[in-house]
Amino acid sequence: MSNVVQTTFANMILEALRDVRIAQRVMLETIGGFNRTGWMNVLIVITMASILTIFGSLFLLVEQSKTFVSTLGTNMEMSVYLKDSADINDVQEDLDALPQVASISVVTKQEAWEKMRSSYPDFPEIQNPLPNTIHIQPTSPAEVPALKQGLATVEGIQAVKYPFEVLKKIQAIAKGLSIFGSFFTAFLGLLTLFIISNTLSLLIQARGREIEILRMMGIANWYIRLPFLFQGILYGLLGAFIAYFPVSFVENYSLQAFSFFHLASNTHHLALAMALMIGIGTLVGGSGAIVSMRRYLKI
Amino acid sequence: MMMSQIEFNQVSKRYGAVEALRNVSFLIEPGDFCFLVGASGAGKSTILKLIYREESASEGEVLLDGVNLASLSTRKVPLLRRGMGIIFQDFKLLPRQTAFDNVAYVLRALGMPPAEVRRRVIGALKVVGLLDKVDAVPEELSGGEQQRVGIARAIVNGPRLVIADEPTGNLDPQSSVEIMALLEQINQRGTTILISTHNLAIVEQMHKRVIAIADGQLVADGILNNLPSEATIMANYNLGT
Ligand SMILES: Nc1ncnc2c1ncn2[C@@H]1O[C@H](COP(=O)(O)OP(=O)(O)OP(=O)(O)O)[C@@H](O)[C@H]1O
Ligand SMILES: [Mg+2]
Repeated sequence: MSNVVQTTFANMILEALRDVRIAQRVMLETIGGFNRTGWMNVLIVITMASILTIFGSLFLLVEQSKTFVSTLGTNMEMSVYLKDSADINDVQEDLDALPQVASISVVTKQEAWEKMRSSYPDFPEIQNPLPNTIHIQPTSPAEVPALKQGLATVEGIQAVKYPFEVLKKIQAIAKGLSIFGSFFTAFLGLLTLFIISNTLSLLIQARGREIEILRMMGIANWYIRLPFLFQGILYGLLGAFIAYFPVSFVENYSLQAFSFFHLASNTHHLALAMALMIGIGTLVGGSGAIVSMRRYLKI
Repeated sequence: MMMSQIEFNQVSKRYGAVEALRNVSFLIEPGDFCFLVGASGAGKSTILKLIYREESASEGEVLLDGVNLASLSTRKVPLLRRGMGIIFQDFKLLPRQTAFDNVAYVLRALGMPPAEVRRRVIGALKVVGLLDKVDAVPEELSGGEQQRVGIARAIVNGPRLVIADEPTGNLDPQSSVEIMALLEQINQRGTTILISTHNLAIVEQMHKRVIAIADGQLVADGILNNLPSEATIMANYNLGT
């Protein structure tokens, strides 16, 4: 009884060792495939890294704009900048009189200046360039157009910032970017798939006689095919690895830009972008290999 | 009842409109040494291809150890081929690999431990007398030597059946005799051997069983002594090159 258990256990270990050796062999065959592909490897990996960089960067920008919009979108506040000549109290009264205004808060020139100097201690000693500002909370987003008209009648206003419009613009840009990004990525992905399948087709054809010999020797089909599949997938993984550097640069850069608006950074986007890039790279590379095998490696 | 190792039962094979084999029947028993002779285009290679399932019969049955090859799924074909050794006229060696690596290829692909691979490969190369050319690549070897590597590769997995399609077709008379002697020696260890050949001179010398085909039909089957002489075969059945 225990002898049987021991034998099975020993067999399991022997089989595992055997599988490791087979995996080693398949890896060697895969490396052989890369060796024979020569300079085309470089071209393919660069192409792959480029499409993944483009995809990853667009993805990050779109995701960050979305976060940006959703963080600010709940805040309906409008900012009214006053002319230096205007009297704060007069304007404040006029604004209070408008029916669409729910509440008002005043930030004077001096307060704004001090706040800025405390956030940026190295700020040069210049004359205070900031205007007096009144923040308005509208009664509802629907009232904003009416409020806009009302504001036009108030004297002493230099400029009004409507966050909604900016947000709408950002939203529109993000939407445009994500549509453009999807199409562009799909197009470039197909192009890359085509390059990979063509390269591997040439490789399969060049190895045609060898593959024929392996078949006659009784080598299993998966053993013949896996190295080509791995080569395709490795192009995807290598491309994603290289694309990581430019994409993480874009991530840092855009985070800095957004942090200017005092927004919490959302670092999980980079991990998600990388996961998608690895997925897309694997898919494109693997499909390229499968297409070439379908055409030239019929069983 | 003992099963024949190979059984052809009323086998016909058509390639499109070409009828390569018609109603061919024969049995080969374990340990047999058998020649397959016939003119070019007679259907010799087709018979061998049916055995290693490169082709399938259009009609009739091809059985290996009692198993009908028509019932064998495509996935099982590599396993079938690993169970036999196949030798070709053009050797079919992997060009960039040494004699050792050529013989070792299948064993390594099966994940055999390196020490075991080495033991078996050296053993096989010793049988064919090529221990001094272990590290040579095919282009550094003569035709006869390349075919020896082919034979070592065919026997390295210890098959019960070795099939050779014109193994001496590309060799000079001296090497041809040596290769046939080598196959006979392998047969003496119990391996079944089936050889297609044009080389009637060698066939006559060796006094083995001969299956003769002409135009896709079996025309004679027996030890050469019982068969008509070479001249008669040539005259009656349009054999030879
Ligand atoms: N794949 C194929 N497609 C069409 N016809 C084929 C095919 N293979 C063989 N044939 C035909 O079948 C017949 C038998 O061919 P086979 O190769 O079996 O002959 P053979 O006896 O081996 O000849 P050789 O001595 O020249 O090798 C020939 O007429 C050949 O043209
Ligand atoms: Mg032939």
